[in-house]
Amino acid sequence: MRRVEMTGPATQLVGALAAIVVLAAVVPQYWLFLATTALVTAISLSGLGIVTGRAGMISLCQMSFMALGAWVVCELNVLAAPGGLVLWILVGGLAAVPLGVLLGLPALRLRGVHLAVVTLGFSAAADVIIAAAGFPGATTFQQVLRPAFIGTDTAYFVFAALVFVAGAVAIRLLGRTRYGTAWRALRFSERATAAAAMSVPRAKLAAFALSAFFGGIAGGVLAGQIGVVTAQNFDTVDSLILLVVAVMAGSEYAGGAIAGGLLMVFVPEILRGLGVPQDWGSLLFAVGAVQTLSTGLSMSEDLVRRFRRRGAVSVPEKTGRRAAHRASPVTPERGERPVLVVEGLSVSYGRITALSGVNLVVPERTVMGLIGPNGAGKSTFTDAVTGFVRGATGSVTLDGRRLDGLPVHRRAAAGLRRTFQQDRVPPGLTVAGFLRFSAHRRVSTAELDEMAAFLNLGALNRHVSELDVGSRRLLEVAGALLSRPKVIILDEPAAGLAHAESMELAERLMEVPARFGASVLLIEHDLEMVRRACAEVVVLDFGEVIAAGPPATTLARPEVARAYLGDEVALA
Amino acid sequence: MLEGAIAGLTAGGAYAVLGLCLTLMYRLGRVVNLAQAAIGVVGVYTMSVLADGGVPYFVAVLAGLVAAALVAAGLGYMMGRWFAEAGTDQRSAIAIAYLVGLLAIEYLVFGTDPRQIPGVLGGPLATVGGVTITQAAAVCVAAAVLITAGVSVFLARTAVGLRLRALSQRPTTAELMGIPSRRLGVGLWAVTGVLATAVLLVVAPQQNSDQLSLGLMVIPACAAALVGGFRSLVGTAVGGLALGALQGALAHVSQLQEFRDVVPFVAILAILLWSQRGEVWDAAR
Amino acid sequence: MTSSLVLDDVTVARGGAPIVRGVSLTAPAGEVTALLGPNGAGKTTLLESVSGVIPITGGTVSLNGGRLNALDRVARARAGIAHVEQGRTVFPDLTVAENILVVRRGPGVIDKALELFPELHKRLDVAASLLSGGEQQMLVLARALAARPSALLIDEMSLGLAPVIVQRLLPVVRDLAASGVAVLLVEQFATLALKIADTAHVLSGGTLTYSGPAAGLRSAPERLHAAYLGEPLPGVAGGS
Repeated sequence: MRRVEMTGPATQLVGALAAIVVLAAVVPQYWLFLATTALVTAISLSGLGIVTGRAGMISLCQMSFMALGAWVVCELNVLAAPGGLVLWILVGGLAAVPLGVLLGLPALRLRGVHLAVVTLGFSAAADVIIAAAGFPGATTFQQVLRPAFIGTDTAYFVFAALVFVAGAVAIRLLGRTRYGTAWRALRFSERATAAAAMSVPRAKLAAFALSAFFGGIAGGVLAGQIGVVTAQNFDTVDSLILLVVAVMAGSEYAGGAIAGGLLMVFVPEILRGLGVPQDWGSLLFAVGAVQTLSTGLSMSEDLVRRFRRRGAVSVPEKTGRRAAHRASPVTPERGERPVLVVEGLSVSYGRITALSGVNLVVPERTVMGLIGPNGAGKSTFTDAVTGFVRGATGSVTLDGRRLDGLPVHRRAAAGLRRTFQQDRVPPGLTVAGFLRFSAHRRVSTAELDEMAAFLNLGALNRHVSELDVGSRRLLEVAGALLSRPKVIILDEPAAGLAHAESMELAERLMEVPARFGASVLLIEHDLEMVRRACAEVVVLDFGEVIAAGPPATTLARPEVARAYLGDEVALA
Repeated sequence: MLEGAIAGLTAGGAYAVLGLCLTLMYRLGRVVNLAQAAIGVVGVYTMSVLADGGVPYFVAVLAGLVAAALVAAGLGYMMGRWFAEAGTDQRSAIAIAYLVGLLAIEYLVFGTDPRQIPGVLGGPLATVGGVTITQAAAVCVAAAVLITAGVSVFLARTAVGLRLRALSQRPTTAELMGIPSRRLGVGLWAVTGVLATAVLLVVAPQQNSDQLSLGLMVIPACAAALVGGFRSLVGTAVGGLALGALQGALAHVSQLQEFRDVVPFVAILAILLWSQRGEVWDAAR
Repeated sequence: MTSSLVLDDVTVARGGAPIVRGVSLTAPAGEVTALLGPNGAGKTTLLESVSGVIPITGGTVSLNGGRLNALDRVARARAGIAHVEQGRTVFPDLTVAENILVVRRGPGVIDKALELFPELHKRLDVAASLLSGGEQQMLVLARALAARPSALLIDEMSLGLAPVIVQRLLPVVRDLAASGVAVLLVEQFATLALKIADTAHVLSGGTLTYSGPAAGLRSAPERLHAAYLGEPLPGVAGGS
């Protein structure tokens, strides 16, 4: 499994290196120079791919980061700083990072649109500053010195190509880390990202800082290529076009970034050759981006999807789910020591009280049900306990540790995990990728296989987008369980499952305390499932606990029936 | 310095009106329309080309307004047709593509050479205490005030305004009441297109007016809209006028003169950091 | 029977998974048709597919003989469907009067719409967000009436409301139907709905498990208990 995963990229890497050598040997000088420019653009687009393509935030100042990188290289060149061009380029990239962080700060708490406004504003401001300050050495036409080994244009092309490949490899490796997954996850749902114990602000900042770094590097490589840099090289409009091309080509993939770079350089070149105004190129990119956004598929994604469809291993959809080990019937057991203690939890939205003074104790190694009619406050309870609601009063204690005031991801990391009622599993990930992300710790392939068998998740290399809603819910449960939580709150995990599957899930949940050492708080409408799985149930109605105890006796109580059926006895 | 601030009110009025358009589009159309000013440029350049070709000024103005309305309506139609269910982020990304596309079309149709845009509001209106107030500044400020008031009344009192407000609060519910969201959306785009054109027609003759610098007037307009939190019309208008006055004043301080175009960015950053300090969750996701 | 809302073999899928499978029912004008069932049974999904919030995957929906399938939600509203969604969807920043005028303007529109809700008359200029939950629910019903619909879909009217308020609203729904509207009432609280319904359908797991006169369920509450709570509950009487 591992090996198969590794050979693919390795082959690609060798192929890319071979292509670079061949191109350098056969392509005429003029085209090679343009190709180098395309590579510079591709490096910049790769950075944009992280923030826009992966994390889904709109950034409109990539050219400004490039300008900063180029400016640093020019300045170091004028100063005749030690280390030479390669080191200068690296310094230029690093210099862009703090700027990226600074601009990303407002985005920590902001919607993507606001980031677009900030970055566009910055881009225009940077134009002004660059025009006023000028590039070091520009007025004296002082060429940026290249070391001898990349002195010729051919050698410099190879150098730029290697920088791009190194960047692509780095992004690929980063994509496998928790941050890499977090970017894709927060694009789909910030809440789910935080619930998987990932700090949303940190993930956003990291994405933005990295994109700035790539921009800075690209600017530095450009400075080395053209020798004398002027303000005209970095226009606000080019930042806009860069974004549009990134969207159209899908620059979160290396192939998309290269395609984007080639488009941006060669389309105007070809148009010029044909005697057609180059603005047709921009128009083409704009139309392409609109088309991409309307279909939801960039050029790269379109290709990837076609390729995947052709090579797809057909996995029998649901057969696995039922066939797995039939557990011997056990009765739900109740632990003694309290692990989650909620005291006097109240939440109100304006004049409406959603929860009032809820007390609830989940003992260790217990499956507990939390039920009640629609609108009783079950979801509000989950949100408040896991930290999503501001202004909740009362206290939440997990295994003796007070969680009050902690942000969502800290509570999750402390061992309080949850799943969501709506589907919040990012569709861009593979099953294994999501599980590793959600686990928040190193998990072996054997562990993943075991979990897949436990909840019948099917093949681990499938993409989430190929799963039906019910399977996604199970995947979410599996991910949370892999993190070895103390308590896991499941918000209607059986929605989207057929009845038999719900009952199957109930059997699995009963095994959870013994297998994973976690307690389960199960919110569920399917009361048959609750009866089967839970040792104890708590009934909420109008934001208050109206009954608690073993399922059979609790559900038989008249006030519970009234809460569910609305008997007129209640109206008296 | 005061003279500078007063002169800056011309641009300030334009920021205010463009900002009003942005606020309206955000509130009622779920989009930060970064192409707003570029749509106005279509109208301004259509007018300019016609006027240069000998068409009487006011006829040319009318043609410019119609052209901008048609282009805006077309863009709005596409937005409603293909991106009706998309979120604000995605719709705003579309608007960026619109901006790039519009700038390209404007270069292709109107050429890349800077034009002197004809105007009728050239001279000074009055001199008060040694400070000259130009006609353009007076018209721009008046336009900002009148449009703010007019739009407020329109939204508060008319049937269409009522339906637009309902749509902005609960789009699905409004559609279930039979409110034609797409048609109203197209109308909204057309009207904001006309407003943007109108104000740029006043400002363009006063300054260096290539397509790009006019099109990027959307940036200070964003700053103005942010002052109003993309909600308050009055806040937006005040923000726009203040920003213009500040820039105008800085233009008279020689050390800072060349950096006055940095002001909108600084304003944007400051407003966002302040106004969003309490926000944590992207409510929908 | 002059007019009616007819669902024929309707199937609705969400995210690839079928939520409603092959549901056929008729809601005749002048009657209250109750659609009951536990949460997650697909009741809301079914209503949403009728009013056009989500597309129908299979089958047909027709109103007074005209097929609705190809119409979008705006066109369906104009064809005579009014959908009162879950959760008291008033336009929060509009006043009570504006909430009604947004549907139809003209002399007497407000008076007509508020005929059944005289308590809202005193609060015409209050923003809807400041109303109590019960008043908001009344406003949403009044707003739907202003459109003069042929079919009224009501989703979970009693959700989060105090029993007294529900008690007040139920006869109103009855009166509405009596005025010639086909009312399709989705209710989690079965005994409430059964009090005013003529016909009842029980939806469970996406298919209808009971269709028949409401009286049939009133006299056999164990059927409901089975559908809702998993098994019959001894000792709790369901209805009168």
